[in-house]
Amino acid sequence: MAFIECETLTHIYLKGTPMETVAVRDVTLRIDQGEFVAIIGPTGSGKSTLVQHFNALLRPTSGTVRVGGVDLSDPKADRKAVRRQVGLLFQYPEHQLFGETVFEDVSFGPRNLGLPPDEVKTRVEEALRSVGLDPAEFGPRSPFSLSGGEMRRVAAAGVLAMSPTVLVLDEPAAGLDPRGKTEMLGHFRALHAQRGITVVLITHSMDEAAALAKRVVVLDRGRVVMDGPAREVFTRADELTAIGLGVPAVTDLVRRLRARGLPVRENVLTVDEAREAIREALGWS
Amino acid sequence: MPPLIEIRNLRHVYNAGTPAAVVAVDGISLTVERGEFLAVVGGNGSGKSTLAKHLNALLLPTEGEVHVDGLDTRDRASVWDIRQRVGMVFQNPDNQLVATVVEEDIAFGPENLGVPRGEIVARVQEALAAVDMLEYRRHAPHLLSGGQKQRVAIAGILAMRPQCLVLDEATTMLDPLGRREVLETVRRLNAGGVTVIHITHTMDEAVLAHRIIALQAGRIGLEGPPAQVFDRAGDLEAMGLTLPLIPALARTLRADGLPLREGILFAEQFVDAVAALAADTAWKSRNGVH
Repeated sequence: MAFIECETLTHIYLKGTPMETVAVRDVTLRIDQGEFVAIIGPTGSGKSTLVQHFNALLRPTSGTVRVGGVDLSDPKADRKAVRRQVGLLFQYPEHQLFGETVFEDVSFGPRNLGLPPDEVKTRVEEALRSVGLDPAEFGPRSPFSLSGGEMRRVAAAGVLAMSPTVLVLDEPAAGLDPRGKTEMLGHFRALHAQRGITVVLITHSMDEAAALAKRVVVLDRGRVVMDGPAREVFTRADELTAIGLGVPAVTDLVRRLRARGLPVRENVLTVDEAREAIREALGWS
Repeated sequence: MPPLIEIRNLRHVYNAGTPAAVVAVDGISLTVERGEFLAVVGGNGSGKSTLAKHLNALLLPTEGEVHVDGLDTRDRASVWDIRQRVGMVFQNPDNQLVATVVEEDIAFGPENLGVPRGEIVARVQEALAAVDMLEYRRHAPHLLSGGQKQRVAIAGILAMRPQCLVLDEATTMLDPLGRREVLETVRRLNAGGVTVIHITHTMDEAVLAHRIIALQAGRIGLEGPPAQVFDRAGDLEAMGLTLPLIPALARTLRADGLPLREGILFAEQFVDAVAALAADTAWKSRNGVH
């Protein structure tokens, strides 16, 4: 059974006022345990609104959302239990750090769960390690003395310390430098591969979506307009460009090579695949 | 005429003289010529944004000096002349627009300069046309897309008739279309004579510049035209940076033994080079390729 299940989900902000805006319209979507899904769409297409239903921050205007079998449109639903299972990392989460030390900041969630101190400590250390920060070195430091990339990772550790089974990431690499980006995304890839954590990744980068996710969901003006394996979605270059998106840079390059009459195979998503495809086309194997 | 921007031995220390002192810029000398398109790259914390804020006197040197069109940024009397010459666009499109209607937002700058009303109208028209946003002149800025907001922010600067546009990670928060819109606008303005300084983490944008400087720990680590800078993959990597996709792929294939020429930066060049190779029967027969 699907872990996250949206049925004809609609979300309207400021309903009944002149400012009424339909952010999400009639979305039906199922995400299974263990998937790595990218959600892409132009600015204002409803990505952030949609995922805030996944951990009960927003309630549907109409339609239903079920997470782990709990119907979140029911006002009596146990929303806290859902928030423990679904961790949401907001955009620019480093703006939300508040602890005097990294340890204190990351331990805030598990302490609120009422866990015993040694369990809290274990969780904080494990969470910091899984984003590449040494607990002994970073734990006692002030989060505000860290670099932007390190602060972002501390914020991610705060979510991971709740031991979620689903991670929802809203543009987790935006604004990081190339090394910070690679590291940050590498940690999420590892959490997915090694611990089977379900990952829902919102991104503006087609390259990131192609490199990480097996499945890509495309939103446009609040609706799901495409949903399928990354390899299939990114063959629809013209439609994606028309809604303000695009295809991964390598996919575009291969299209150009083919347009020149070179027999390069289609459906290339990564640099390694492009390298193979070009060698193959030139008979250089 | 003096160069548009001349920086000599600039140092910037935040909280100077306290235990929390941080050296953000540590001895940069740089000349930016009129009409140039310069990209500034570097990891988080390398000093890019601090350097940018010196270009229109938002920050003043701890040591060294910055001259804009011959004006010294330390001279208080020149501040407004300097800011009229160098305009900045920042990362977050939502923090830069002040008015409730697009054309009023554009008029804000020239109004503050005391430009006569008739000319303001002409300037607003011209600035919106330059960023291709004329049809949105009566729209509310908060209802625009990210790319449109950044173009309005650029138009607001253009209405001041600046000589130089500084983009401080101005494309970071935009979706693919927004990026394309802003980059096309900037390239068009540069072709029309506006000097552009583009600060970015995205190497695929830096490759569009005439010249790149890469900062590391507040100093210039690498400098040169894109073809030259992206020929130094090892040095870039050591600085936490990467090659743009096309040069990276060309480099990998060269390492595999394919005789692709050096200095390939763009997709069109890459396609030309691979097509030429495919047509080169001599190379094929020599290498036993069928």
